[in-house]
Amino acid sequence: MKKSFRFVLFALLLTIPLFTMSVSAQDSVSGDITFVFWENSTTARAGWENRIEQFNMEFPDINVNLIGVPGEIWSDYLQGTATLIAGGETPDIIWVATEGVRFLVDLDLILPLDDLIAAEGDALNEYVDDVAPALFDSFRVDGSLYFLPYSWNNMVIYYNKEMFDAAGIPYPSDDWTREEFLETAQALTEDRDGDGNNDQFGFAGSGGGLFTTIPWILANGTNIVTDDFCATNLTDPQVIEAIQFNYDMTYESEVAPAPGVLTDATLQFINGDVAMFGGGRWPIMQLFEEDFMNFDIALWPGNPEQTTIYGVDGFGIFRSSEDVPAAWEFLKAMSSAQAQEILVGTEDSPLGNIPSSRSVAEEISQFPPENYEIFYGSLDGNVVLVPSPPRFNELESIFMRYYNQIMADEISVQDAMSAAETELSTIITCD
Amino acid sequence: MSEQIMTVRSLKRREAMAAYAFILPTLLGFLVFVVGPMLASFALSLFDWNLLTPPEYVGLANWEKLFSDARVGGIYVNTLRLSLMVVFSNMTFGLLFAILLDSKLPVLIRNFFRISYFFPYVVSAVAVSLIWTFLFNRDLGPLNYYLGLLGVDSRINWLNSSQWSPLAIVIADVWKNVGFYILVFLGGMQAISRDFYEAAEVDGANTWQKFRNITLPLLSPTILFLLVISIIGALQIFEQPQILTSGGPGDATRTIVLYIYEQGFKFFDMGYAATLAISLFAIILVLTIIQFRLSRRWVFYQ
Repeated sequence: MKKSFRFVLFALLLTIPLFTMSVSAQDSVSGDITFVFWENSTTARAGWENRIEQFNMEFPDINVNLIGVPGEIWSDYLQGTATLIAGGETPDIIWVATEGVRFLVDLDLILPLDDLIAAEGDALNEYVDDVAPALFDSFRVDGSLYFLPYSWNNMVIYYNKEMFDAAGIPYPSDDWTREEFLETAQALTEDRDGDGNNDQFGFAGSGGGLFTTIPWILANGTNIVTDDFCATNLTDPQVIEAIQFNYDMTYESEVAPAPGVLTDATLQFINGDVAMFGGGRWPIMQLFEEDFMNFDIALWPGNPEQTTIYGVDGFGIFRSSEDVPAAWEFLKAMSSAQAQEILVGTEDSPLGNIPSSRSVAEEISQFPPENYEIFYGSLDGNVVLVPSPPRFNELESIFMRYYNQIMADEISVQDAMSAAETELSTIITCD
Repeated sequence: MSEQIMTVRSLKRREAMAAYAFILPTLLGFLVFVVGPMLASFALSLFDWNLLTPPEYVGLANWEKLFSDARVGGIYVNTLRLSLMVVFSNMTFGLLFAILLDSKLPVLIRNFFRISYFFPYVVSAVAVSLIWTFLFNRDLGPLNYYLGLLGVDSRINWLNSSQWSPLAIVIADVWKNVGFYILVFLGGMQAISRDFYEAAEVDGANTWQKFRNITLPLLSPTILFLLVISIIGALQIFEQPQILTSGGPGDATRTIVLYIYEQGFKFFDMGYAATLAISLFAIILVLTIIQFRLSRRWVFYQ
């Protein structure tokens, strides 16, 4: 979940008519709670203020203090929140992405929601039935649910329809394989100025984070950690094979440029330098900004089974909260389908995350890509949660350090993964 | 008599009081923002602290970790190598451009160049580094494109290669910071009395001799100042590697400050980060003392 949703003012206006279902103010619950939000855009604060205003119409006696933590990526937010807590300011509500779930739960900081949900009886059924079970799974540790899903992302293949048409190649099919993908990428790779080096590429890989890098490994039917996140699985021949495939795309078949740490594949895609790249829903923001509409999306190619990664974000309550009933009311309101409307975006600027409620996600059909249903639909097929052991940051940092060394052509895949496995052996463990 | 002595004494005391009053704001700032955090770092190095739960006393465990950490040595070597390259390049190009700018140019042109060279210095390092990521891109970047036109056939992997990435960081750093060096060198040159040059000209000295025997020796205090400042700065280089390479490939461009940041704010291991920071402090302290000791042999004051 690298980049994520920006809150655009227009979208805020959309939320005003919402929250009107129960107009009668419920003055039974009162309290004073603090919500630390991720201030990832200049309009984020206005968005939350607006929603709190709506919330206060229903719960006038709950005072919500907003604290914004600025940051580009999720770990910035977690870092800022940790610094706040270290400074003595413990919030009641926290926003979290899958990657940070077990880190917080492991430190025993988060309140399990099971009792609160049970006490609701059937009142939450509408929300629960509308959210795919896989999204709840991401917030469950040892059988207890700790967060309510708000939005999420997966990885799909974006393709430039114009470049496919120009090369006379059919668009990717629903059940394409990695071989078909490679053939397609080869047909779209070209040395346009004839200097002996390719300058148009079929595909652009990622060198940034775990989330965008490992779908090829998942497509091989394996993962970099065991299912219980208790051990690494880096020397699995299928893991090695998938990484070798990535390496070969740059150095053997030369259908992909060398991935840089911060290389902006979306921009290369808009410029027509690459015909396909992998991303979640977030590239749509940039594509719309640049008025680039001639694209569509396809499921990640299977080898043989089509599988992709997903990661979720949502809200939870700190154990230290002194106003749990008030915090719970706020949590429900912020996770509700109504609150997720803001994630759909507007015609000019769709937003970068997929709403967790299926009914709200359906509304993104109003924007390109045509195959929008692949976003939510992937949850009905094979999806694998982003590996998120308690020490996720170390897993990502160490894995990516070796992965980028492979991509620099300075170490063999086998040697790199053996070394990474050794380094991670004391970090990824359940002992 | 004794009255007079008293007056002198009280005068001295009043002067001393005034002096203390004057340095008080700086001293307070120094104590609160420098000495305080430094002492806190020493204390922190004895604890295991993740920011979120109370710190736990672990004795010298962080120090044991420091000495058994297989990556620290390599990262220090890489930091020192990168620092030497950055300092040497900035000093050399700074002096070279300062000499060129100090020559007899029309004022307008000279000011134009001065501003041009100084401008990148005031731009944020993060913004500059982001631009360089585009320029350095191996397959689609302009730098390799123009090198290709010049006949360099194989594309250089500027941002992900142990061989080239340190150089990419040096290039980005020099482009950004050389203006500061030029400015300080120019200031130093202009402080040199013209009398020396006139006397040398009367004796028939040529340009090189004037530079070698007048400019360079009299510029030595400036050189010492820049050397001290830039070595301290270079050992703490952060933004360029963070954005251009994230320290990679492997640890090839990972500076010690990047590593401290990673341990502290990514892995939430504040105790170990503090331990690493103290080790860096000790190294900078030793290097600076050595520089001042050695400087007695080569720095001349007018």
